[in-house]
Amino acid sequence: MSTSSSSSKKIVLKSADNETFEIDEIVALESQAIKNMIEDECADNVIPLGNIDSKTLSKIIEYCKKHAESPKKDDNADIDEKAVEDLKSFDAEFAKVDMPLIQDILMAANFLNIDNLIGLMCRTIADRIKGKTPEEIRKILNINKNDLLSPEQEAKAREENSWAFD
Amino acid sequence: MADFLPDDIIRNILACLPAKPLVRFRCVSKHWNRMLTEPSFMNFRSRKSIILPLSEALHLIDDNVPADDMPHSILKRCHPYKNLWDRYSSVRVIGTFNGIVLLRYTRKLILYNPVTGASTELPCPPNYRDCWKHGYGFGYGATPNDLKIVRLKQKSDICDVCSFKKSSWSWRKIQLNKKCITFENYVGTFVNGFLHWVAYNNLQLLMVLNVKDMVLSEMHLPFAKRAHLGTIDRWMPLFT
Repeated sequence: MSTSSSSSKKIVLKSADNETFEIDEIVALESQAIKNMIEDECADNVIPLGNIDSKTLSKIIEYCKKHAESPKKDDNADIDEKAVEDLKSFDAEFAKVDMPLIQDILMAANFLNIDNLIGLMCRTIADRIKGKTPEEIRKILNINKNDLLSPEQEAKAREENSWAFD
Repeated sequence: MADFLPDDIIRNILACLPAKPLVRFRCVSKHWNRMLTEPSFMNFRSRKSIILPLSEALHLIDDNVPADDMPHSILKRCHPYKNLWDRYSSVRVIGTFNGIVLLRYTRKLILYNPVTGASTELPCPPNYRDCWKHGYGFGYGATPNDLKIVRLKQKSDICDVCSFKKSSWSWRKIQLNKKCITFENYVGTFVNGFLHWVAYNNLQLLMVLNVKDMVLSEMHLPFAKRAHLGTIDRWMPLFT
């Protein structure tokens, strides 16, 4: 069998808007869902991701590439401090996107089962909403307007917990 | 943009929040209010806090807040059921487990989550008023969902166990393998499946209860000074 210039195996992902992304298998393995598909040999040449658009998918691939390249924590005990710091600052930069995109990345990471990325997005959302009022949260997270507490219930909750509303 | 986030994701986000916004966000929607007060969230498995029981209020140090943010890291919470608390009665913390506090009032036993403010009233065990004879402990058996509150009586080999089954708490009696000795500290400390009480039988000992199998044993202390117990991660420090 002839070998291509790059020795690693490639995986092709296809987004909802039919854009294709060719990535190294090692990068795709950051996703537990894709890893399972590959192990069960049900991944064809192209993996269609019908619920992830190309903008979100390219962000996810950017994240997986960086994390696949970085040395894993359990590889050896004397892990390079610099690599850890480098990954931390990458994560911080990566999370500097607007809320709708954060939520799209979070939903996609949940679907693809990428634990670290789910954690990063949850921490980012928690950080951004912690100073907000309930009204602002409803707007930011698109909370269903038919599911609000009654004015009496809300007044009661505020009264019981007035210390949290200062 | 995502229409709504799945519940396990919302729980994951909420678990990252400090106590103050958490309580405020009960007003976001009925759904959030339910999630923040439901029993599973009450358990806060992923949260750490240090609880300082003082008679007039509970103080807790919230581990989700940076330690240098003093105004937000220490919370003072009133005891629930303040109306039960007159000058003839008192309230004591008789157990803590995973951020949940077990409070003993003269006429009631209450489980309380000081972060969310959620509380549950427990049925009173038999002979509830004879408190000076009883030691309490709060922990779990085979799985973390198998919560048990145990009450031991000194010089007796009968133990009362309160467990959560079919959505309610109920007490039953269990015959132990040996008699309890005299308590020095009535509040049990739960570590790695075992409840520990400092007790006394000619010399200071630890009385140790295997909560899963309900087997009682005694353990000698490594020194002969007055001991107090604590917990940190899965270890049990001894203070003298």
